[in-house]
Amino acid sequence: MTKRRFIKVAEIDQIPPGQMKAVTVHDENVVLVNLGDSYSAFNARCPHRGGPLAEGALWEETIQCPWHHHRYDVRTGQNVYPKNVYPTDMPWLLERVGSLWMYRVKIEGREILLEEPLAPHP
Amino acid sequence: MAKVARQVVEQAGINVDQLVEKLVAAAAAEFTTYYYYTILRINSIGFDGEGLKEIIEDARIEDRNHFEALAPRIYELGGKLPRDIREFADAAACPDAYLPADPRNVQEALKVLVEAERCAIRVYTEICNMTAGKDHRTYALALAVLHEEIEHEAWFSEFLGEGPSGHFRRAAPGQSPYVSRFLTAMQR
Repeated sequence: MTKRRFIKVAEIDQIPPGQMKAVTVHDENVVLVNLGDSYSAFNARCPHRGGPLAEGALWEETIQCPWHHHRYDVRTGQNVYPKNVYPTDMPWLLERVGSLWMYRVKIEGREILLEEPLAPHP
Repeated sequence: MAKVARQVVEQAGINVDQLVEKLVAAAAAEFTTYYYYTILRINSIGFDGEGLKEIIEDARIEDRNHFEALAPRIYELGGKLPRDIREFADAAACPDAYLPADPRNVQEALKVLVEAERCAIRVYTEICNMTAGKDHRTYALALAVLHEEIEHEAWFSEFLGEGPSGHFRRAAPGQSPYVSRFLTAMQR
C-alpha cells in the first residue's frame, strides 16, 4: 500500500477561526479556511470562470467569487448559488456550476498539511 | 474621461481599473436583471402572482435606474461599456435570474428574486468598502444603490415569509428614492 505524503503549507496560528489564507503549493494557488472545528483547502480558481477565490469574501462557511459572485460551501465545495435557483428544465446550466477542487487536509501539531500530489478529491 | 476626477481617485490609493471593472460588472448585472425581471413580472399572475407583480415592477425599474446611474461614472473614470452586449451580459457581477421551470410556482420565483437581490447587496457592499473615504462620488452612488437593493431584498424576503420588511410601497412605480438624484440625464 502506498503511504500518503503530506506537505506543510501553513501553521494554525496564521489563520484565526472564520478566516482564510492564500498559499502557493507547487505553483498551485490554494485557499485554506479555518472553520473553527476543522480546516478546509481548495484550489483558488473559481470553477465557473477561473476567478480568484483568494480575493473573494468568506461569509460564514461560504466563499464568494469576486468576479460573478458564485458561492461555494467551503466544507463540501458544492456550489450553493446560483445552482439553487437555476431552472430544472435548463440542465446545461446546472452542468456549468461545478464544485470547488478540494484538497485533503491534515493537522499535525501546529502544522497544516496538504496531501500530495495536489489531486482534487470529492 | 474626467481627468482630475480619475486622478484624485488614483491618488487616494484605489486601483481605478479594478474599480471600473467592478462598476461595469455591476452595471451589467443591473441591465440583465432588468431583462429577467421583465419576464418574471409578466409571468407573475394569479392570486399569488398579482400581489408580487407590483413589487417586481418597482425592483425592475429601479434596477434599470441603477444601470443609468452607473454608466456615467464608468466613463468619468476612464472606463467604457463593452461594444458587444453579449460580452456585457457575460461580465455581469451576478448570475442570470431565470424564470423557474414552473412559472406558476411563486415560491420558486421568489427564491430567484431574493437571491438576485442578495447578490446585488454583496456587490455594492464590496464597492462601498473599496471606495469609502477615497472615492466620494462612487461611494455615494454605490451606497444609494445599496439602500435600494436592501429594500428589494426585504420586500421579497417578506413575501417568502421570512418576516416583515418594515417598508411600504413606493409612491410611484420604480421611484428610486435614493438613486434618483444621480439620474441627471433622464426625467425622474
